[in-house]
Amino acid sequence: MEPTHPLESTMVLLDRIRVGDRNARNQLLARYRPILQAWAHGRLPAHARGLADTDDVVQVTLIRALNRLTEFEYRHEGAFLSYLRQGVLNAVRQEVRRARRRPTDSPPDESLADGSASVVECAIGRETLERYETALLELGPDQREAVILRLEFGLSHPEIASALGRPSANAARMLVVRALAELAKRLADE
Amino acid sequence: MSEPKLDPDLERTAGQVADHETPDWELETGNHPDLRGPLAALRMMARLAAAHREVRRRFEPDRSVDPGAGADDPEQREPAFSWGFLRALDPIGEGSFGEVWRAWDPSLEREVALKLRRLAPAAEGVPALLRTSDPATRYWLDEARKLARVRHPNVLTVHGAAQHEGRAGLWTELVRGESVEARLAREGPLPSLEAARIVRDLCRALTAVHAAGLVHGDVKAANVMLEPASDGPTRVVLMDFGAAHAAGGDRETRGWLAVSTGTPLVMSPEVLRGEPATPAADLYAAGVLLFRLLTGRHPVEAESLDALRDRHERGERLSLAELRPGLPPAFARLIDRALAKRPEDRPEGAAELARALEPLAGPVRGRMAVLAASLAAVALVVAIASAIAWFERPSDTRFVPPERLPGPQVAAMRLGDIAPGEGRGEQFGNGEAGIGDANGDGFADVIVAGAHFSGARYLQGRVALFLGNAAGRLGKPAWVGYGRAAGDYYGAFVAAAGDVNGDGLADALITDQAARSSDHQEVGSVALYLGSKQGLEPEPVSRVTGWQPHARFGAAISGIGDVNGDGYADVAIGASNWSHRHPYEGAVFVYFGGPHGLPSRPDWRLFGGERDAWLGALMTRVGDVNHDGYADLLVGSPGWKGGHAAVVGRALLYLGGPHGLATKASWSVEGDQPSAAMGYAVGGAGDVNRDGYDDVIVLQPGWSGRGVREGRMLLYLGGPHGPSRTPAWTAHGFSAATGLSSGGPAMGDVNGDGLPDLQAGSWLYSASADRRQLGIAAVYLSPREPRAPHPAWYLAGDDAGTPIAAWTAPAGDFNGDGLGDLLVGQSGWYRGDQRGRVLLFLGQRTTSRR
Repeated sequence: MEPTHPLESTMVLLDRIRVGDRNARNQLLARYRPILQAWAHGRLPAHARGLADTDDVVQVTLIRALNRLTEFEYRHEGAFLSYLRQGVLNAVRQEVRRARRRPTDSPPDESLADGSASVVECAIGRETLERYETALLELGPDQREAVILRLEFGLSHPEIASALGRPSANAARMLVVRALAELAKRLADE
Repeated sequence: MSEPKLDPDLERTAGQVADHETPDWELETGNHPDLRGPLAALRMMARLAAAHREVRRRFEPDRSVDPGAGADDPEQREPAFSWGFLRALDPIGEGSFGEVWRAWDPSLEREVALKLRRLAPAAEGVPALLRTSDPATRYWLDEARKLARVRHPNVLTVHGAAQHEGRAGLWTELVRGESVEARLAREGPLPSLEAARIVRDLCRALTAVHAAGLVHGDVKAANVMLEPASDGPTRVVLMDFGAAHAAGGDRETRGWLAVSTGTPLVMSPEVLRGEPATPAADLYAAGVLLFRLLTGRHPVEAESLDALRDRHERGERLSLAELRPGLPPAFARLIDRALAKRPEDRPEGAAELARALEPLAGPVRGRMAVLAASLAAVALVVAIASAIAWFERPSDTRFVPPERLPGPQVAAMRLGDIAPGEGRGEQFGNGEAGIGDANGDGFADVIVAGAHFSGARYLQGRVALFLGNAAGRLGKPAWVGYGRAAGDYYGAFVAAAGDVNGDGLADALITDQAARSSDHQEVGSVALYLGSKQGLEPEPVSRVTGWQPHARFGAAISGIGDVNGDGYADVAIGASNWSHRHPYEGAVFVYFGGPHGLPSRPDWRLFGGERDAWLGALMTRVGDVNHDGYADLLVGSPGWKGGHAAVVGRALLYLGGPHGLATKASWSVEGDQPSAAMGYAVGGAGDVNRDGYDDVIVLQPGWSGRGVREGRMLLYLGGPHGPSRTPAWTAHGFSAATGLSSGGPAMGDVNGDGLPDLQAGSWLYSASADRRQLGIAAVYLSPREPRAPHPAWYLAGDDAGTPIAAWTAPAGDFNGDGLGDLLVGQSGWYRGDQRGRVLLFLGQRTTSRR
């Protein structure tokens, strides 16, 4: 992610996009596209990756987001990335469903019949990933965004501080640590 | 309400996961069986994070520069200047002491870092040429010579020190990497193992320095470099001995030197009191560095020197335990000892501190100098097998004027041709420009960019040249240029340069938006390609590089005509995020053309003058506004506030002359609405009223009249004393929430009535209440009556998924029929593997029916 500044923050870019600033639009696309592409690539199963272009999944999500700027209530940069992540995740799930062939006489098979899984599913298991996603939603928005930004997008603590409006990198780090501990307790309590 | 207290062991392990460290899971679980469940969850999250890191690693662009693509050869480069036998090439940095340059040592054929002491102001009656370095220089040179005797892998190697023509300098090894300060800014507090390793190696350096009888005097994060090594751990290098001095010597001088040349926040209490700095003071500073690496803060902070001294006296220090909970107690005690108020309570020497840190140290992560990303291994999926249901594919030729556009339109333009992009995701048409006649065949030529093109390198970018012809067909490109490195976004901006080298052929400017400096900072660069019989020369004749990271150098580029009357066209480059005296004030740099292209340094500079003024966003050539034979320069500052309560923006005109551009603006206009971004884009209109004076356009894309921020374009007529004070004509945007943005308003004569016409585009245009963005390109015929504010011709997109007018630009007379033509980019368009396209519209003779 680019270093942020009042003129470079996503909020200002969105505002400039609304007045037709093409530079800002390109900057926003250039900023978020690579990071979302990498994320989506880790979440698309191999068989769906063969049918859906990771590029297009992300491109379409970004264009939809830019086309619906009036619908998005901007809180801070972290929330915007989290919003885009959810959009890409929905698109990924849609592509996975689309790629499956369901016989009419059998219920939808939620497991991946051919055994292939996304990179992240290979690492922790599909069921665990779903539990993780569910537990994430139970966290407060700041803690949830802190976990996503650090674990999934690999943002640095200064970047997280800027993205979530924290006063310092160390404050952001402490937010991440507490959020991880809280998430760990919730997952353990299930 | 305070947060509930966390189990400290759980918090500590969560901290390790947050820092990407690897806890000993078996040990942790064995020692804390009551935390088995949460520890297992943390372990899962660590694996999830590692999986995402692995995917990102595969996606990381290869930032190595292809040696075959014109890599910088310091031996061949023309130097900026010579100092003694050294040839200064590029500025690396500057500070209160002077400047640092990357230089070439021809005697040993190697690159070096050349540090030049700043010259003292000229004494009264002394010519400026006879200025010499300030008196403290002699101490500096003496200590540099002593430092040259220190040979240690963690100490910067000094090759020599001398004075040439009154200017003192020293040259050292050139360390490539990033400072610890930069690492902190980028990543925040470091993992404890890495922090310990860095300071351990630093202490080894200090051991060698102290053994040579020297004290560093300014040990801080900015003076410690991390140099990645391809075959081993990252090398920690202690730099900047500007405050260094002998450990013995005159007490008063040493005390003055210590306080005047060091950095207060890292100074030990005794130095702040005015006592001489000793090796113990360097150890204190090492403790401060360790504290900062772990927390991001200095242990004692204050707003002034006096307040800092008071806090030291009272022993007021930030709590390490609160800022970095979970730090091993032994580590915390060691830092406390290094930060002891009395020198005698600190470790006995740097070697003792290094030994104490050894068991706490881990590997220092280097920033990958070369990322071997095999694109084949991470090849993206080739084709879409099924439609994505979110939007329908646009038709190729149907453009339906939406119902919300007012007024009848005249058939001023006709579709000439469409050229699609090639590579997936390249966003072909994100920028285009008519550059004039590059190959001398009498037809105007155009360049079109796909800055997101990924070929041999990911997101390297691509620009294609299409030669004009009588058929008005784009056809296949006659020339294609590519970015040199991954992530360059070559072609982020393109523009006509004019005839820079005076050979009668038009030249082109192309920006690498993400071009990086030798220490991997994004600085941007602009390449000048000369016209040739084949179209454009294969390699740029000049490449101008920014020198301030993330300043958007090259986001605005334009040939501006011949401002100094030497027969060569000149070039302006904007950097709207430039910080000179004020943060993000923006800057415009002008480079005078010549027979060999452009100089490496600008000939004229302008800065925004206030914080966030954002000078130099978009600009194009305005021509000769006062008809004195010299081209003029119009710049905009959309973030300018002046004395107003809110940001209003403004535009300024600088007249050309025999000595170049004037230093003061001869004309300016301010915005009349807050946040309307007056001056966001500025350009020439040609001589609209045919009075011999070129006229100017100022865009105000955030202006709100009928609706919300529809934007407008203002025309000011040129005259002998500059443009008029009030606009002669105003054009409005089309619907609520639409701005106006374009690649230069001057279209030439589109309809054959002898008057130059104007164009503007907006990809944000939406036709209906659902606010789906279709985009629109519009042509305004030169006004015969001032009150007609609407376009005579327009083209609106019909598909919200791929709006048109990502960029619009005049093409010049592409088909040689004497009429101006128009380029409209649609970078979001796609079909199969193709991504983005450009539409060429040709002017046609018509009668206005307004």
